[in-house]
Amino acid sequence: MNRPIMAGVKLTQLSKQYQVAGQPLEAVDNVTTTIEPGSFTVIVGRSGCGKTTLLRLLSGLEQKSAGSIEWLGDGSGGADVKVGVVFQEPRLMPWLTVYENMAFALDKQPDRTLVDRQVTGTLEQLGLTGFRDAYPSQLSGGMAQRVSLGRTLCYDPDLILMDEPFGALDYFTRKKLQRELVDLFLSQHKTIVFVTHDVTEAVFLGQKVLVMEAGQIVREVPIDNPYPRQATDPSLLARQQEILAALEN
Amino acid sequence: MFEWQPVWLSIKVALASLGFVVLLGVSAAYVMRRSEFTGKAAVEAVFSLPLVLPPVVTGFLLLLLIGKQGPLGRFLADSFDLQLIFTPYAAVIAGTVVAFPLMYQSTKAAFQSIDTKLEDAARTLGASEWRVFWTVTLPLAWHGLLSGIVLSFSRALGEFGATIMVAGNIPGKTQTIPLAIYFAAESNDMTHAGLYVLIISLLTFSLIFGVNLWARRKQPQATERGVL
Repeated sequence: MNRPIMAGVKLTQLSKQYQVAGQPLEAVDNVTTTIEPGSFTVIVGRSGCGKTTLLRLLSGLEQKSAGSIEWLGDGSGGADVKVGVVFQEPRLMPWLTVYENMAFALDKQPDRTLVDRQVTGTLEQLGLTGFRDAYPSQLSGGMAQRVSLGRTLCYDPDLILMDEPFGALDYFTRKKLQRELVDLFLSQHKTIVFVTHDVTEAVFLGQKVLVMEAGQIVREVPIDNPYPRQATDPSLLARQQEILAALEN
Repeated sequence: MFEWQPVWLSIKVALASLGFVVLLGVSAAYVMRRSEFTGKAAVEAVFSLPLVLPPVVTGFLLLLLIGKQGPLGRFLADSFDLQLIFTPYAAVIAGTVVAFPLMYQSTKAAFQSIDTKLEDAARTLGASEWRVFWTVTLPLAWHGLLSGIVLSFSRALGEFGATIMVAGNIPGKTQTIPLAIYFAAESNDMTHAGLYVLIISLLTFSLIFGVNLWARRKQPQATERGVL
């Protein structure tokens, strides 16, 4: 199979309308932007700004009302792009072990030794080897979220969407997972679209930050600082101020 | 002389009804969950009708449908030389129709109570709708489905009113336990009637007891509440 390892996406006048109590609501309103293959993009905005809806449109869980979604990547025909999602909650199958949860997306692979190699490798990469046979109810929030990320990595998507994946975690675990995610991005070269309402997290992770407000992208802030970044870096703090100013307008 | 025939027939009829009921009830609940159309409420009402109608009324309506003069009855007789009325097949149809709402309602409630987030997660991992149903929806809903299975089997096992309308009371052919009880009691044969009562009571009790026990062992968090 000749699939691209990473995919980008070009959104043109993308809109999603809902009916809320009989009134039309533009959850995503005329969004035009390009997410380059192999880039780390962060979408930041307050609750209800449409960032999760945008992600659901990209993942195919919602159908768009208007506009276009065009996949980019070497020879990607469009329909074959594999999009993985890491949600805010781990959403693991409670009756499956960590190992089985990770292998869920690999059911079409007939060669079980390949499946085993992939899952074992991912378990190792995420420091989960000791939890291989544990059930989700036996895991801490951070561990469960790691498994959720590992499950998506096992699916081997061309584009990973992350919807506030660390939002429910404590400060220390969040910091640790942010660093791990950067390492993962550097080693795997996956395209990542990461949604958060935490501006500090946005500038720590993203190469480009899209600021969303009322369904629209009101500002695009490129961040050229090399990885790994220091959260206290003055230039990052300046970017942070820029984003906050755009949000408060 | 005590006859075991009604016992075996009842079990066979109830099992056959259960097969149809599970297939129809789960499919109906699945389709209704995923579709919105005008008249959905009316269809829902029709699905529940056999639960609230007196069984003898359900039997009467079935008689109109599959009887010798009924549209389905005449069609089957003309095309396949098949007669349903006053056969065990008619008892199975009666059992299926009266038990269907129980399976449908249990499955519907089970589907409504499950977390669609897990189904979405499975979809984003490349699972087809078919795989989502078998590997996520069913495991999440199995508790409700199991109670539907127990309820509808017991309901089909005890069916009397609709059965006597369409299958009659032919000893050795269509006489199930409830019919045997009624006609034994009517002819003042209280010993035999009582034996049948004992058998059907033991049968349904051990079924519910066994399933609850099994469900507890299978899923520890279900200990406080059995299936039924």
